[in-house]
Amino acid sequence: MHRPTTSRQSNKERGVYRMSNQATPIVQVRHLSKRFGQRTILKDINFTVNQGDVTTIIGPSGSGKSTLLRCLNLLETPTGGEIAFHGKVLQEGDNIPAYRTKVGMVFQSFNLFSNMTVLQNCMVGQQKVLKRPAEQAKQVALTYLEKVGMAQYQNAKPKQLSGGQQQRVAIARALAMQPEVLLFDEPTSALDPEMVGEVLAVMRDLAKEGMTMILVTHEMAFARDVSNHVVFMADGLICEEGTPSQIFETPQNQRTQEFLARYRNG
Amino acid sequence: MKQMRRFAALCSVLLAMVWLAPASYAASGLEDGVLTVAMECAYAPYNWTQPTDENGAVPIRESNDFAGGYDVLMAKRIAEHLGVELEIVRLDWDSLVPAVQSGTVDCVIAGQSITSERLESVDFTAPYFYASIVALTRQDSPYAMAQGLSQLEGATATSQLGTIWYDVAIPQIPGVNILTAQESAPAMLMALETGRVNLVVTDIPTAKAALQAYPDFVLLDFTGQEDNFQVSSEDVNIGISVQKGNTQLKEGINSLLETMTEEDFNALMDQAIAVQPLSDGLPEGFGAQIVYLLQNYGDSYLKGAGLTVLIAVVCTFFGCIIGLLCGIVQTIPAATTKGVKKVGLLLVRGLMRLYVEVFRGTPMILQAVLIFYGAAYVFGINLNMWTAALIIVSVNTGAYMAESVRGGILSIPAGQTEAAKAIGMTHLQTMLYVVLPQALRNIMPQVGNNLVINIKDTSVLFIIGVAELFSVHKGVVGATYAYFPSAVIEMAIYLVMTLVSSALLRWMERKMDGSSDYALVNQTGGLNAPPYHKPAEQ
Repeated sequence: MHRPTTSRQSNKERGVYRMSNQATPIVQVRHLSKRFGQRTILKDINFTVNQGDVTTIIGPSGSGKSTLLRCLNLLETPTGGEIAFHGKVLQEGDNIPAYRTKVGMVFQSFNLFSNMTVLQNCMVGQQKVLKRPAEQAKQVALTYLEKVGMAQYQNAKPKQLSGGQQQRVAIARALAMQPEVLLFDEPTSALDPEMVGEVLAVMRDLAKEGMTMILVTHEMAFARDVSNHVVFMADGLICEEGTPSQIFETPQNQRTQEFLARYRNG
Repeated sequence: MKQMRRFAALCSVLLAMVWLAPASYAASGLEDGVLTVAMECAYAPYNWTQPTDENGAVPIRESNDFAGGYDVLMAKRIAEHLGVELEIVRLDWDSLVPAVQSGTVDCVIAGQSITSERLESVDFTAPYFYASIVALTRQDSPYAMAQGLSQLEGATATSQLGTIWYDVAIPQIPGVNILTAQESAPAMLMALETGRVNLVVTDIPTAKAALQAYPDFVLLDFTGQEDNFQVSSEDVNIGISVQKGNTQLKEGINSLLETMTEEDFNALMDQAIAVQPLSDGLPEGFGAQIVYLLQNYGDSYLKGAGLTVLIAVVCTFFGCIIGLLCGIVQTIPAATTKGVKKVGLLLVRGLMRLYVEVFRGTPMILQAVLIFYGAAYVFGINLNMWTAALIIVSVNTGAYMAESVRGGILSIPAGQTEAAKAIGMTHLQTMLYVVLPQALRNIMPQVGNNLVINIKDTSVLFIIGVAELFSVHKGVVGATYAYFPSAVIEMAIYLVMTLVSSALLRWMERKMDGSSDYALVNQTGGLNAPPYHKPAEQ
């Protein structure tokens, strides 16, 4: 895979994570825990995502990465702790749908609405949730479909597209809601290797343009090149976090070292 | 002259309701100036259905057909004697007693014998006919020349279910081999015609009428001999039944019957047999018989088919709506609701569950009887026949569809719901725009199934007198005894209807799927894709 060196530089230009003077926290997670019955998936999660951050969450399978991401837009209800959005703690009785329009999500399995065309997929949320008129919704949808290079497929049904194409449409669908944060849950894990590149390219563009992104991924090269904040999770805990160079070049935690060693050797 | 043992089960359910019933009906039922008489209109020569009013036939209520026969001639005399209008209601045999019991009709004149069993449910007038018992066999049968009961020894015989012909008379034949009873007189005659039995036992009017349709039959009448069927006079007395305690109407009818003799009755019966639709006999040959039926009853078949399709389509539609509502409620995640809302939801769900289980778990024919007659009996509500039919079939379809819809909704991958929630849709929006459109597409084959089932199952509505296709068959064979040709015609019509509806549903499914191809669009009309901007409020 082509790895542009410029993006690494751009991370540096943005400044080291949490050392920037203008850091504006968007999402703050404090003492978050999640239990399913007897199983504790997340134990005591604390981290902050600032405006314009690209945060990647890495770690072994079953470490709770996806559950954490799903807790962030309340697809899973946390068992304990709190999530603050723009400094305001989310509480019971808050308008969850309204919150979700600001925190978009892209899924591993795309989850395009199979009863709708590509264009309708990108319009339905704008029309029904944001109450935008059809004409405006269509323009916004086409704008983002063009951005992900899928505008010419606007009349296709999801099943008529390849996995990479579907995931690009899914990103456009999320962008059409014009969210402040985008969550990506292993967006390339279900894709054939030759399609991974086209999706990562779209994500790289978004990162460059300053989109605040939190992504769970196994694409270590992408995490290192594009993100400015890496969180390593194991057994429901954050073991280590920091800049990509801190995590990938000088990991302190033994679990992190073991995990990354497998990637280096593999 | 039939008894109704099979009716006993139905009746006992209704009887259980009798204690719940409001004040007894003290009225004579003639206050409205109309004598409402129920009969099968499928039991020649007592009563039959014909397409025209020739020979003084009377229109059948809520139908385009006319009723003729001995019972109609008698009913006209009674109405004239009482100075009221006459109205004929067509009902299935099993429905006659509940109809008069519940006050849905004023009386039943339908060739019912006056049995002690039946007297427990209704009151009878004096006999209006005396029907002696005879046997029928075929000319080529070894019993064709029998001179007495003892000469029928070893015969294979049957008769109609729930009659004293079957229960009392047949066992008196020495060494007889009794086959399963047949559901109707035409079916019993078919058994003889096709050689499944050597002889059938019936009463003299039925036998005489049968000879018209089957010229190769021989009537074995041993009346006046010692060597004959031994039955009590009770068994051959045919009476008119009225609601228990309705002495006013009973005495009114009796005052007419007192003036008539047995000879008068027989003369009237001969008059009926003479004008029976088949008085000229059925044509020879199967094809000719089908042509004959189509020529004479083609309109009736078509109207019946139209009605069947109408009921099936309308009820499938409403049933789907009921099923949709139930299915949606059943799949609301209870975990997300709290307090009173949760209790309410669980309660509604419980009721829906009960509804589904009860209507899916009991035969529609019994539901029809209970809803139609039960409403009149317990609450005094006289449901219109059509209303009852629509309710029964819709509610049944709904019970089946509820489970199909639930399955359809569960079959939609969780990812679809999550994606909808992730762009901010509420549960209702998720359902309306994402889940239900997909679930509906998935359950279309089930809708088709239900439509086909409804087309066929509306046939049980004959029990409450709906003139759908199957009841046309009962009417035609009751008048002509042309059981087999009519059954073939009916089969063909049902098959055409179900094939057409299957094809239409397939077509709808393809429409819903939309084109399998798509066109690439080069002129997109979008804004120039700008770099991603953070929302303005930042």
